[in-house]
Amino acid sequence: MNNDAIEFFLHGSGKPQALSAPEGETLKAVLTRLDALPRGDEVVFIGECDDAVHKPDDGEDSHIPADVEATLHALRVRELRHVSTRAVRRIEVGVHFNGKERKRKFSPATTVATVLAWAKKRFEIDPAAGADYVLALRPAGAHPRPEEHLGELLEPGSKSLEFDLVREITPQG
Amino acid sequence: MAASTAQRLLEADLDRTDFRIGVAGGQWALATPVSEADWPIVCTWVKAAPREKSPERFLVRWDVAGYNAQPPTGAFWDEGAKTFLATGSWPKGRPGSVVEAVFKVSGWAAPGRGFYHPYDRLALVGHDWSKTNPQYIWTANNVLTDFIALVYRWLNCEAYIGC
Repeated sequence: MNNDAIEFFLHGSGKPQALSAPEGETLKAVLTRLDALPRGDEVVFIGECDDAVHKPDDGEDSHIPADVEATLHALRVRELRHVSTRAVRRIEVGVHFNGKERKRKFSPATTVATVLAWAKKRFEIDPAAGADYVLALRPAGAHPRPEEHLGELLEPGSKSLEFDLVREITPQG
Repeated sequence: MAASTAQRLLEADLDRTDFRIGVAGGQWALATPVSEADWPIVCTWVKAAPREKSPERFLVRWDVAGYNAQPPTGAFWDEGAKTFLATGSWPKGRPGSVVEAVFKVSGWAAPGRGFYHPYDRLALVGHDWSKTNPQYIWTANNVLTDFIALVYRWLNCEAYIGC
C-alpha cells in the first residue's frame, strides 16, 4: 500500500475543507486530529451518493456509514475524495412541484445535483424541457449550488429539507 | 508591488474548498495563476457537455476589479487571438431557455463582452433585477466560484446545444 499523503474533502465540520493525510492512517486518527469525530448517533460517509439517479423509485438510499477504524486506503478515500463526518444517517427530503410532493430519504453525502435529477425523474419532467429547473430551498428560497451536499444545508439538529422545484428566471429587460 | 486587498480576497476565495472541489472534479480550473501583472483579469477554463463541433471546455476571462464589493464581469475568450471569442463561436442555448438568454450576443449593452445575467457587472447597467431575480443579486457574500459554477451549469445542461 502506498502511504503517501492523499488529498480529500471533509464535509460536516464547519465549511468543507481540503485536507491531506497518509493513506495508511485510520479515518479515526485523521478525524481525531481534526477534532471532527462523530458524536452520539452521528456517522461518517465516504464518497458521494447517487443512488437516487439509478433507483429513483426507491424510498431510501443505501449508502452505508464507514468504519472509522479502517484506513483511508481501505475506505478508498483516494478515489471517492469526499468524507462527510458528524452526519445524520438519512435526510428526509421533500420536493414540491405543481402542488405535488415527492419524498425520499437521502444520504447526507448526496449532492443537490443528484436530488434535482431525481426530482425531475419522479415528476416525469422531460430532460430537455426541464433544463431550466433548479431547486429552491425552503423557506428562504435560496438556490444551492449543484455540487453542495445535503448535509451542508441542514440546520443544526434538523434531519429534513424541503425544496421547491422552480424554473430559473430568464434575465429580461 | 504588493497585491491589492481585492487580489488577496480573490486568491483566498479560489483557495476555498468549493473552488477546489470543482477543480478536482474537472469542472473548472484556473487557466493561469492570479497575478499582479494581469490584475484585474483572471482566466478560468470551464468544462462543457459534449456537443457536435463544439469544444470540450471554454476559456472565460473575468474582470474582477473591485472584488468582491463590486460584481465581476465575464466573457468567453479566444486564447489564440487574445480577444473576446467571436460572437459566432459563443455557446448557444435552446430557444427560450436561460442558456440562450445569458449567452446572448446581441440586443444588450455589452454583447460578446459579458454574460447577460444579474451577477455580471456589465449586464446590471440599466436593469433593476432585484425583484425578478433576487437570488442572483451580487453581494459581498458572493465569491467568484458562485458565477463560475453557474457558467458550468449552463454549459452542462440539456438546454446547451453547442456552438
